[in-house]
Amino acid sequence: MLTSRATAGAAPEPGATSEPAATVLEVRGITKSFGDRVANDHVDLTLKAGEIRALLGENGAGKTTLISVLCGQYRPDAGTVAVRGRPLPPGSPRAALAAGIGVVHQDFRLVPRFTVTENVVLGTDSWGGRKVEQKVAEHAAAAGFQLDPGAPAWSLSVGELQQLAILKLLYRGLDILILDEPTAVLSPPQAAELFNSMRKLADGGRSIIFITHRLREVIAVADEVTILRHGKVVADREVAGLDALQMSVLMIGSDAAARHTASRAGNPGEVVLKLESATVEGRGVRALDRVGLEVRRGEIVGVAGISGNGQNALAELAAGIVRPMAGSRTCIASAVAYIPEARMERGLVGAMSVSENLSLRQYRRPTMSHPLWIWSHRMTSLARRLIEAFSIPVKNPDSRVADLSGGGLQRVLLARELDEQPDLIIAAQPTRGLDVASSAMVRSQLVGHRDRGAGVVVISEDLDEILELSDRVLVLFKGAVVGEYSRGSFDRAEIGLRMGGEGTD
Amino acid sequence: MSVSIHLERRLNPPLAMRIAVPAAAVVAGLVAGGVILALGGHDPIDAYNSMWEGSLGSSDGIQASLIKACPLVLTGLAVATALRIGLWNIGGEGQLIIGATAATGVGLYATSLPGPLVLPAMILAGCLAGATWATIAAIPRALIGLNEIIVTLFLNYIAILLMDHLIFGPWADPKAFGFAYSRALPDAAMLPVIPGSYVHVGIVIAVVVAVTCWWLMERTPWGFSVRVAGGNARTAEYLGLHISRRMVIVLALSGAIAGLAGAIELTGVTNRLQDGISVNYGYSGVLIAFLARGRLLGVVVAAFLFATLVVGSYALQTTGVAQPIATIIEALIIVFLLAGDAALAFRVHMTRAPHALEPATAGVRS
Repeated sequence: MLTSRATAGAAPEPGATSEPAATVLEVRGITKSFGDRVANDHVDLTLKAGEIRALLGENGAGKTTLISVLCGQYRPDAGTVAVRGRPLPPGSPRAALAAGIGVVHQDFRLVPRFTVTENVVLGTDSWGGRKVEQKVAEHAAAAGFQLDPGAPAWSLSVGELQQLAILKLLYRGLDILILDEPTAVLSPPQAAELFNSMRKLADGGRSIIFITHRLREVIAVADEVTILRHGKVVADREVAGLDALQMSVLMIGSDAAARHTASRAGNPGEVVLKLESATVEGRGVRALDRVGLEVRRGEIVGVAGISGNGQNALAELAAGIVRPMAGSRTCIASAVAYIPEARMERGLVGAMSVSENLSLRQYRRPTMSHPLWIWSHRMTSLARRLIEAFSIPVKNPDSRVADLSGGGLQRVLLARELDEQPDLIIAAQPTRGLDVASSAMVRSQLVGHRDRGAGVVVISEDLDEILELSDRVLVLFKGAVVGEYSRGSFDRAEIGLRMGGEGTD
Repeated sequence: MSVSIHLERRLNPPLAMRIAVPAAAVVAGLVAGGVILALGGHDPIDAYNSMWEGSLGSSDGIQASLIKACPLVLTGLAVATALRIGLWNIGGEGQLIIGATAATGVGLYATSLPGPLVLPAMILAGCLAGATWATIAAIPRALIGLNEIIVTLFLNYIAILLMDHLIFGPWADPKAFGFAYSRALPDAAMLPVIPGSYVHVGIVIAVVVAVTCWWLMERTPWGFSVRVAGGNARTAEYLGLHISRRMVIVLALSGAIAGLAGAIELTGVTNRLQDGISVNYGYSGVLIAFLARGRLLGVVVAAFLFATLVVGSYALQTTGVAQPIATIIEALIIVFLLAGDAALAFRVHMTRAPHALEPATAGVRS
C-alpha cells in the first residue's frame, strides 16, 4: 500500500540539482521567544534534495513557530536560514517564496468558488486560459494527482483539496515543500495516497518537511526525523532503525506516556441512550439515515468512520442538541456531557476567561450564585480545583481561554463536562490534534468514567483509538450504520473497508 | 540597501505602554492640531491654554465638562451594553431623540400630575420610548437575523423627522417665530442641580446607571449568560440559553439607556424639545464605547475625557478660532487615540537587508 522505502535509501538522482543529495535547506541556531516563552531554542535542521524529513513533536513543542520562521512569517531572535548556501533575509515571506519554500497549511487556504486552475494561478501573473489549464494538468499528472483543472474547489473532497494546495506550490516551481499536519483531515487510504505522492515528489528531486503527530506515519514515509521537545531539537536522525516506541519516548521525554495499554473491557448495565431509526437532515442533505444506537452504562461505544459521514449530526443528536426528524431518541441520563469536535466553536467562549468557561455549566447553581450576585471566589475556586485536577496549562484562572493551545482547550472542556459525573458522555474526535500527553489523559478520563458507570460514545476517525477504547464499534458511512462489532471480534481490515464504503453488500 | 518593515501580533501589551501610547497619541494630536492652528494664523500655545482653561483648568470648565459628559456616558453605555450580546446599537441618536420627545409629551400634556411626579414620569416615558425604538430593531434581529446596525441606523432618521414634525407643528412654540423648538416645559420638569454648582444631577444618574449595568452584566448570572450568548452563540445554544430572548431584552435595555439620556438632556439642559437637542451624542456613544474597549465602567472615563475635549473645543471658539478648526483638532486627537489603540496590538520590526536576494533557481515564478 505504501511506497517502498527502498527507493529512499538508494538516493536517486534528484532532478533539480546536479550534485546528489545536496543540502537545500540549512537552519542554524534558530531562537524565537514570545514574551517569557521560548518557542524555538537554538534549533538546527538540515534538508537534502529528495529527502522527506518528518518534524515530530507534541503540541507546543515549537513546530509551528519553526515553520513560520522558515516561510518568513516570523523574524527569529537569533539564527539563520540558508537555502542552497544563500542566507534568507529574516522575516520576509516574499524572499522565502522566491527561494523555493512553500507551505501547505492545515486549512489549505483555497477559494471554494474558484476552479482548480484558478486556485492554482491565484497570486501569479496568469489568469486561467486553456494553456494555463493544460500546464496545471501536466503538473497534476506529474505528481500523480487526479484533479480536473476545471472543477470548482467546493466540489473536491478533502484529499483532493490537499492535492490542490500542493499543486499550487508545484506550479510555482517551489521545491522545498512544508506540509503542516497534512494527514489530520485524511482517511487512512487518502493518507496512503498522499504518502505515494510525497514519495514521487521527493524522487523527482523536491524536498519535503512533513509535520505530524502520528508515529506510524513517520515510519511509513519519512527518511529522516527531527524531534522537537520544548522548543529544542532532541533528536535528528534516520528513521530506519527507529521504532514507534523509541520515537514516542524521545518526543515526550520518558517512557511513562508510551502507548497506553489496551483498556480493560467494560461492564455494561442499563441503557442510558437509545436512538431508534433516527434520521436527521441538514441543509437539504440527509445527514443521518435511520440510525439505531444503544448505549449502556459502563460501556464505550465507538463510532468509526471518515469524517463527513454523519458524525457531526450523530454527535449533536446523541447530545440532545438537535432532534431527529424521524425516529426517536430516548435518554434517561440526568446529566449529559458533550465534548464537541469543534471545541472553540461549540464548547467554549473564546473571549471569556478560563475560570468563566469552566463555570459555564454551574454558574446558575445556588452554590455559585444568587440571581443578583455571582460569588466570583467560588467560581475561582472551582476553576483552581479543575485546573489542578486536569493539569490545564494555565497559571491564572482569569486568563483568556482563547490563548490556550489545542490540548489546553480540550482539558478545559473535559474538566467542565466531566466534573458533574455525567451518566452519558458524547465525545467527538476527542484527541484530534492533541499531543500524546493530552490524548492519554482524554482516553483515561473516558475509560475512568465508563468504569464509574457512565455510558460513553466516542466518535473518532482514529481507528486505533476506537479499537483500543471501545466495547462495541459501529461504522458510520454516508449517514448510516454499516457495521457493528463487539470487543473480541474487531477486524481491523474489515472495519477499514466499511469505513470506505466497501464490503457492505 | 532595502528596509523591510514587519508587523507581529502582540498578545498582552505591558501596562506602561497602555498608558504611554494614549498619552503620546494625545500629544501627537495636539502637535498636528498646532500646525493647523498656526496655518490659520493662531498662536497654538495661546489656543491650547484657553482650551485647557475651558475644560479641565477651571471650575467652570470642569462643571461644563460634567454636564457634557452626562449624555455621552449614557449613549456610550447604550452601545457597550448591546455589545455584551454582540449587537451594535448604532441607533443611540434616534433612541435619545425619541426619549426626549416622549418626555416632552408627558411634560406638556400630563398637567394633572402632582408636581413631584412630573419629573419621574417624564424620565420613565423617555426610557420606555427609547426601549421601544430599540425593540423595533431587536425583534427582526432575533427572529430572522435582520442586521441590527441597518435598522437602528435608519430608525434614527425616523425619530428625527418625527421630532421635527412635532416641534414645527402641534408642539411648536407660538413665540418662536418659526424656530425649531417646542413650548417650554413647566418648572416642575426641571432636573435639580448639584448643590454648590450649576451641574444638574444627570451626571450622578448616569454614573449610577453605569455601575448598575456593570453589576448586571459582570456580576449576575443573567449577565453572565448574556456574555456567553454574545461571545459564542453556538456554545450558548449547546447550554440551552434562549439567545433571541436575551437579544431583545438587552437591546431594549440599551435603548432605554439612550432614551434616558434624551429625557435628562431635556429636563437638565434644554427645557424644551428642540432641533439639536442631540449634538451627535448617539454617534459619539459608538466612539466612546470603542475607546473604552466596550468596558462599561471604562465608558464613564472615556465619556468624561471626550466631553472635556468637546468643551475645550467650544472654549477654543470663544478665542476666535473658527468652529471647523476647533472640530478638526478634536477629531485629530480622537483619530490619533484610535490609531494608537490599534498599534498597541502589534510589534513593529524594521530591518535593513544588507543586499536584496536574487530569486533562487529552479524556475521560480515571481
